[in-house]
Amino acid sequence: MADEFVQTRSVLTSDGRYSRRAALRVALGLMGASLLAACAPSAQAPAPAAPPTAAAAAPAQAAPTTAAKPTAAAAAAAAAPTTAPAQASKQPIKLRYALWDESFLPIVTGSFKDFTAKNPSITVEPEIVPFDDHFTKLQREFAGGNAADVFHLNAAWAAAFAFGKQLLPIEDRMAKAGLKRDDFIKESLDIYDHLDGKLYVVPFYLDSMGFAYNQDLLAKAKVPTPKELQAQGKWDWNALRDMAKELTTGDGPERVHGFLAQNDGQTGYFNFIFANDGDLWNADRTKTTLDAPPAMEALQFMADLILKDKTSPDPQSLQTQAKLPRFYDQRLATFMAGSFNVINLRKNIKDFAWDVTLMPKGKKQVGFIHALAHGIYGKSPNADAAWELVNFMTSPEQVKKWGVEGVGVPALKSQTSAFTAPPPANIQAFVDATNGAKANRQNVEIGKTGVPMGVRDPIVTASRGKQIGEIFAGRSTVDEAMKALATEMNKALEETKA
Amino acid sequence: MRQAAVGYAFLGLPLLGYVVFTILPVLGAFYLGLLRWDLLTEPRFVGLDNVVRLLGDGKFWNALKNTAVFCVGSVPLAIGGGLVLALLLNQRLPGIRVFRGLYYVPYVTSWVAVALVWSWLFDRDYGLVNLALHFVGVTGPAWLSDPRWALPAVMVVFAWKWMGFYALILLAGLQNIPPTLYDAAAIDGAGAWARFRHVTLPLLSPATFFVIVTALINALNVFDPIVVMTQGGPNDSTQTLVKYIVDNAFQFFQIGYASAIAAATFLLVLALTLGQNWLQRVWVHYE
Repeated sequence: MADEFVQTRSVLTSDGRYSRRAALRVALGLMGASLLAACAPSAQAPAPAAPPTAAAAAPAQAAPTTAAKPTAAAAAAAAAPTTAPAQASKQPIKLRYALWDESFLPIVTGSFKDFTAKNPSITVEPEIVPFDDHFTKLQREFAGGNAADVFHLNAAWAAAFAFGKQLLPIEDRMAKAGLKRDDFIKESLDIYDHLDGKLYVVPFYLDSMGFAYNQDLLAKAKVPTPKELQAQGKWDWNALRDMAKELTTGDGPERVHGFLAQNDGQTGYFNFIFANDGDLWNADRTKTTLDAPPAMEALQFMADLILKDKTSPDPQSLQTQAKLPRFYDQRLATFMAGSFNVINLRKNIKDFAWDVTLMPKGKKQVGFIHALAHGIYGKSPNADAAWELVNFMTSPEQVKKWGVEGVGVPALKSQTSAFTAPPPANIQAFVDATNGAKANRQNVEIGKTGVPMGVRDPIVTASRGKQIGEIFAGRSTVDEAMKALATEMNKALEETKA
Repeated sequence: MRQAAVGYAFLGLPLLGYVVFTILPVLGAFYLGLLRWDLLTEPRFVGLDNVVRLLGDGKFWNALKNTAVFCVGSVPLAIGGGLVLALLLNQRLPGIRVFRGLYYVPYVTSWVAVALVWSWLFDRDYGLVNLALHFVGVTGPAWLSDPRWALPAVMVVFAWKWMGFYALILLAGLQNIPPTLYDAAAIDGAGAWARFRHVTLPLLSPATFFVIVTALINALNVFDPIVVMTQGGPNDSTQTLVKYIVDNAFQFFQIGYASAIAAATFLLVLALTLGQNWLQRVWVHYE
């Protein structure tokens, strides 16, 4: 062994060119430099970056995907511009605009261009983070003190962030800018009014729910269309049930289903619960009312379609082929369509006639509604510029783009007609559906605890999905599942009190 | 003296990285476990509240139970499969190297890709698994939608993915066994099975020890296939410890509670590993 050691050594030094020591020094230098380079970005936000990293890295071999995200947040914090607010708009300002849907890019970049044309010193950078990560990324950025200036929000998260005092209050700014509450569709503001009755976000388009149907399949089965039934005042749940039975044909791989009862709130049971004059929570939001008769009847109706009538595919088979591909393939005759489906329906349906209408009427003609809103980061150094951008994007000219592109119903009453260009012929139904529609309101103060639903929503959503899944799979009765769900949800409310 | 300094310098830099990016966050997690923090409002110190909550949390015990069952099921499967593969790959056949590469491929494939493909394989109506069962007259269940079969399904995928890696290590161990020992055993009249039991297994024990420790740690930390294939369902039957931690931290805004669970998981894995370390003096032969 000793011989080999000496031999190796003499080979290298006799070479003359690279002594071992020189090679070692170079290697050391490179390692040191690379380590410093790796550490530099986190120097800017070490403390806030550490807690999220800690939570992700704690298990002995951390889940790699979660470990990657805190580093990305730290890097984003380092890359964010920190220019001072420009009083006279002379200093160039770059606003960060965070959204989750890539398909919105053409619309928003068009708006940004128009905005920069009017305000040359302000440019806007869009940042796209996929939906699943968008809100958790914002959360981490809030904790780190450096979030995007303007971002897209939905109801659950807007309430949570407003409660966490992360959003810029905009009610006064709206008044000054001449944006009146009356200009907006009332239901969109209802979703977003905060605890103190003030607005912290500005809605810009709505998602409403309607009923889509394959006209050719209905004609083949000689079934009156929902529109005809509606005109006769007969478009109710029984009519839906009968229609679904008439439209369900075939067996096995050839089976065509009449309707889809989906284990999802927005596209499924919320609509039926609201239509049956039920709600998800009691008036002061301290207890869930999913175990009350209206909600249980609604769920029973949906479960019967799957299990008794077999006119709806069961949850397992949906994993094989999802809802929209089934409709395109004409293996599903009707389904609860959202205004957000219109773009894809227009693009993908080539070989049959289709139309939409309001959902079947229960005790009431009420469905589910949701709206997207712009929020401004409360601690943004460019708050004024950010408000200018939001104000601009809420102006009639800009807001109507969401309708023209078929994304959703513009939130301004004056612009709803921008969405109603056919196809489908009766697309007006989505605008009509917004009247009196209800939302999963996250923003109502909860009795004495003051913690809005938004913070607990994921927990209760998970429990809800699980229990309703058990009902639709036939492993549990509505009674058992809803009682178990109510217990879980009320327990979650207790445990997550402030 | 100078060489020692250079040696320490080389050791020091990676160690610094290890301390900053692994040790400190682990300590941080223990500290966070003492807080109540939802990332939106200010954190609050609550001492051992989270521990008390953990002990009384049915969902935690369910996750622990599922993780334990998962380990008991997947570890023997993975190691057994790895051992069989290693024995097969140890033959002197032309082209055996190709097979060694092929069996290693699952290990280097992305978890998301693997989990997605296996999700389709396990489909009730169109999946190949149920098709194969159909040919032997068995009606396969709706694997990933059935609370009784979802976890076994994930176990199979997990074992399949890790088998190649364990086989590689065991193969290296096998190739370190001097063939003269086999000849000696054969001369003494030992048959194939006796040779395996008395020559192969004992001399393979250092490699087997490493594989068991690694396999157990990997199984206790299972996460990727759960997220892609079952999301913890159906009915929480595949909810495991790490998935529960991630849910609590990033879905339910309970950073403090999630950290407490993470700390508990860390201690559990540490205890099991130390236990195995102690046991090795009983059964591992370093000849």
